[in-house]
Amino acid sequence: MQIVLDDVTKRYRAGQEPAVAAFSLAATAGERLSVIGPSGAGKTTLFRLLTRSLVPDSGSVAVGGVDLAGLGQRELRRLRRRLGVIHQRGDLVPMSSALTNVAVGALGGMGTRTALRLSLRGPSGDMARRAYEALDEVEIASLAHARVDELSGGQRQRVAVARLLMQRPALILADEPTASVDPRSAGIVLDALERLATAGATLLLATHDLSIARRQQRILALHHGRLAFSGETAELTADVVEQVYAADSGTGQAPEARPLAWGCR
Amino acid sequence: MTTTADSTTRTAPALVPDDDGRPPGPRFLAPRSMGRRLVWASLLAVLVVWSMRGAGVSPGTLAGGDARTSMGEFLSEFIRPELSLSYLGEVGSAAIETLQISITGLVIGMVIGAPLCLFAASNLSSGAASGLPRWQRALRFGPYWAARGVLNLLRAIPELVWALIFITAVGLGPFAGALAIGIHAGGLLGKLWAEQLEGVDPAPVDAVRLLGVGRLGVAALAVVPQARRNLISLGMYQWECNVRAATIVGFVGAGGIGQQVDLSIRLFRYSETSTLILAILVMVFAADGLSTLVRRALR
Repeated sequence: MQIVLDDVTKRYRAGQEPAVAAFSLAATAGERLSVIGPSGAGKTTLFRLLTRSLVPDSGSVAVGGVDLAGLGQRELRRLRRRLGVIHQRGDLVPMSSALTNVAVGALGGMGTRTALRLSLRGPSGDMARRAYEALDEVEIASLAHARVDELSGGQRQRVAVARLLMQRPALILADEPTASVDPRSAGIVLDALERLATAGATLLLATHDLSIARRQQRILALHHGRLAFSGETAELTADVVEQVYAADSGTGQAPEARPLAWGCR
Repeated sequence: MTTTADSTTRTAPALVPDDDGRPPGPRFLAPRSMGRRLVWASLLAVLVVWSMRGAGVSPGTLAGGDARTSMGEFLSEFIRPELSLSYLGEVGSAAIETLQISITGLVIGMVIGAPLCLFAASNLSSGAASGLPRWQRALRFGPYWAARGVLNLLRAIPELVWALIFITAVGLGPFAGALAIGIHAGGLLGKLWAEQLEGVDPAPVDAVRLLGVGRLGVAALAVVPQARRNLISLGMYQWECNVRAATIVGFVGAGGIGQQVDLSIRLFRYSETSTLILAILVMVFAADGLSTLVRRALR
């Protein structure tokens, strides 16, 4: 799905420095982009604008050629089915099995009765088979019946990716999906996300890890809610990185500078 | 960056320095100085004296001759509970009726409370996470406020008053009691359950909502599983309260053991009153024990 942001500004509170300012971006269907920038640069705000969890103060956001501002609740839900969101922590439902959590990924297009049946009896038939396959793809099928809150962080993140595989989204919004995950799980998570992208999904991957960022086709660097750099992976020089991540002594609130993960993996 | 870190801590929202997360109270009320404490103490004293006068407290009446003889009469019979088998049988069937009222009341309460709590949980409102402008969001919270209002109404009217209302509708007897307790329990359970639903971790709820799942599906798959234990625990606690309430509503003629207590006092059969109170004690303790057991088993 293609994304077009046109001159988008979003403030969380009036009078505050905007979280995203005069931001424009166009991504084509199937493109793989990584988004870097220090904490507070606007990465998460950008993602929340794309799911219309936030509405911009000005400017427009279009996903798959549809302007999000004009969508009713039903159309919004239909669109969201095609957006796969994954955060630093998997956002899975605790007290529920891995298998059920994965099966929920397929629920978007189905009715309330299916949802209620799933909540009472767990997945069955075709849905269960697909959920097992998705878990198998992230090498965790043996833990299908374990409760999510009993899994490790890395295992949970793989379950979350399995839920994405179940969902088959056309746009993946991955917000630091490997930030608190063991290396092996991180590798599995990234591979799965990139495979989904290769199969046609657009991927937007926020990360502080430049080695991961460089695996994508295009890199966006955010600084103070503005697009500081946008270009092919090869064009990202050390200068740009330093400029984006440097704690500035200038005006406004100083961004929280995070140490960079050069060659972390 | 540690890549193996597996912390489950959530990042706290940014707060203003002196913000403790609670709504700010008026500062001048804080008792910090001696003088302020004195002012507070005297205000409190005035409040207590005023309340006692209003309540008609007069120690003389309690210690007076009349009260002493009648209390003595009561106590002398009270220490000899009526324990004949035929009477115990009567007490037993009244106690069972009370338990039946309490359980029926719980079922009615759950039937009323379950749908209402879904509307009264703000995180399940169609206004929640809708990304709409402020006033549109406020409009969508309409059903939420309506449900809250209904629950408040059900809860604000005491069981006894509900019992009197239902006695005029369905006549004296346990059915009126069960309805009264059920309505009140519905108001309480709806509110307490809604608060449990609101208290769950919002991240998984948002995640499931973003998958395009409908609101009932979000409730069933993301909210209720997180709150399930507490919901059951509150249901058990409500049953415990129902047992107590079921003895009370009997006093106005809504069946059960309370009706027997009322009768025995009116007929000056205090040894029977004694037996009945013992039976109530046994019942309440048993209900308390059972519900504690169930709640402990859930942990």
